Amino acid sequence: MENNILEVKNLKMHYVSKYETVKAINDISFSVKKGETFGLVGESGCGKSSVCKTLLQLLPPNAKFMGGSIKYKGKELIGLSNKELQKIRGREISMSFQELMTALNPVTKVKEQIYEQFIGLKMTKQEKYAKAVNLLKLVGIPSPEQRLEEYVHQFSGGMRQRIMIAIALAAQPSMLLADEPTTALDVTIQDQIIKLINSLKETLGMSIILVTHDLGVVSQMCDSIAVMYAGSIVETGDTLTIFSKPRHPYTEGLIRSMPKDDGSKDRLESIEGAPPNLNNLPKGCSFAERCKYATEICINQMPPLKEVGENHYSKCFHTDLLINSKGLIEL
Amino acid sequence: MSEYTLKNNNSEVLLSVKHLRKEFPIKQTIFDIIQKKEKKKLTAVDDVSIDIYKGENLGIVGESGCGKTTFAKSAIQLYKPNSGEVFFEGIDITKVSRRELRKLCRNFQMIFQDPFSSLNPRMSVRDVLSEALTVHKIVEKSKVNTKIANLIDMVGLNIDQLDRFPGEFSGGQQQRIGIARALALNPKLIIADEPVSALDVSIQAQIINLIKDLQERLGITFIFISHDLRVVRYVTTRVVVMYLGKIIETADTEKLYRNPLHPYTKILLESNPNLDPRKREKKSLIEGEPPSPIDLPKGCRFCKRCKYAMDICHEKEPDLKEIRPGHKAACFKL
Repeated sequence: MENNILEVKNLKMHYVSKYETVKAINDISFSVKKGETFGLVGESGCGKSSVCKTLLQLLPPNAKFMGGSIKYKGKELIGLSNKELQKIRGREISMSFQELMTALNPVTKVKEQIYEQFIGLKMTKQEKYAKAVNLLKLVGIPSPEQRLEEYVHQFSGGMRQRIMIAIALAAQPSMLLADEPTTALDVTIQDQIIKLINSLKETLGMSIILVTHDLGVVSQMCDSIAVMYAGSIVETGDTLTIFSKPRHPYTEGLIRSMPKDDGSKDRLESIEGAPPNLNNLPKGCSFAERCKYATEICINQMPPLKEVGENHYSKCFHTDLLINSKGLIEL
Repeated sequence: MSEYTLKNNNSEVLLSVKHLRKEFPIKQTIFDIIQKKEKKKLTAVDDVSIDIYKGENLGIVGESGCGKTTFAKSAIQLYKPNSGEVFFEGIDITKVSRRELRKLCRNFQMIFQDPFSSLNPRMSVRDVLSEALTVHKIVEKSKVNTKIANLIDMVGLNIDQLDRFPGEFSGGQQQRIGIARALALNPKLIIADEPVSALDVSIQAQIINLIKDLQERLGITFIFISHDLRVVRYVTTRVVVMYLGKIIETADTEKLYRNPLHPYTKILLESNPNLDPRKREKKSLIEGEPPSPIDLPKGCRFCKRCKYAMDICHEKEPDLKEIRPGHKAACFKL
């Protein structure tokens, strides 16, 4: 347990409005080790980004925290005052956001946006400038002195992502929450960003939580992953295990619905139907409706998170049926 | 499967594109005009020639801004090309009158990337489908409803969903409506512009299966534009790789994926993240980004990012030539 930099236990968060309650996070637990990349994987609307925003408590006013604990370096984050949280945000845990054009400020220079991270640190102007130049060098932006004076719209998509990362790293956090860092990018640029984040992790010794829906990116970046569905973690374990031997029907379906890399033209196995609405979750397993293994018990009861292997958990009654399930790769 | 390959061996040309060129003028600011700066233009598609065969599924891949969509759209005259010819059934459709073009255009349909914004939110599914049928007088008025029922069944939706509005459907279902609309006019060619990019993986597979089924059943020719290299490999029979408005390589899908010739294609395919977590590379294969299509460098468009670039690459532009039977590439190294 000493090794864990972050421990989340039984976290619950709902968005409450006059008309409905959207159950965005339903009782999830996971832990992130020091220096590892932890992936939160799932389809849109499954609550991946909400988890990140809950960790930093960057939530809109209608978000209601319903219980659980978030321990960072042994310290409880739930219930901290805003002032105390400010010391955590950016300096300890930092986040790079998905929508670059809305997250970055279009009317101030890149320089100013990096300087913002230094507020509260006693630094002279020269120190700030030198640090900013170094940051841009670190994330691989050529001619940093000139680029610091430019505005966000003058950068390409890949360069904007690099700036986002530079800003997130400015206050030397021990943990980075990266929300879909490569989603809007071309494959060649995506490849560059994947490798950049991987090398930064090693040189800076950071831990990373990566939010993504792209299994290829997960494979290239994550040490362990949690697969999310309808606000719950349905399977968690190390990447290699889950990719080779999935033990939850949803993970299995997700993996099988991807075209293979060997050029085979066998029919793709799709998961029929669509995810349930988060404001009206079923009583039992939220995946039961689309699951080919589902039985009576799945509809009536919520399955527990069962240990199916070393560090490998699956939230399903029928994990035994998946014991010979074939994944994306063979070991 | 066997039937599928047979159709592709039938090498009757459906659409023959010759030296197609599409430029977009860059707007000048008042200062540019005062300073009498030269008018700039962006060359989105630069002298592209290709034959599209009946029944094939042609994939177009490349980075964003390389002219994939512009090429497809200017081939079917949704954009007026600046120069070049496009032959459909012996007629040069770049030169026909608007009235004739309208008649011809029903043979070409599109499926768009964002299913929601490409459907009118105030039109029910029935309206969406019947509009095309009545405007083009595809079937008699009395038979419109049967045809609609047919279409909706073909894309896997229910007849009782016909009077709903696009907002009531999920993303995958909306894309099915988009596909039904494209099928309404019995087209000969469908351009699918990133049809699954906006969808989640599990839904993606449903739509990919549907597109493949329809193609096999109806024998419609497809142009499939996508940046997802895995999906393109799975769906298409032949692939065109574009870089900054030019075709740099084309071959049958499996040939191209197994044995890419052009340095750019090699890098593109290898940049696609490997699904095996044990195979991780430390270094990225390619530095930098594509140059702006506004001021193109002299010589090969790719030479600035190419590690094999020779002197000639900076001087002359390589032609697309046949390296192996059915496998063309534009590179001096080959």
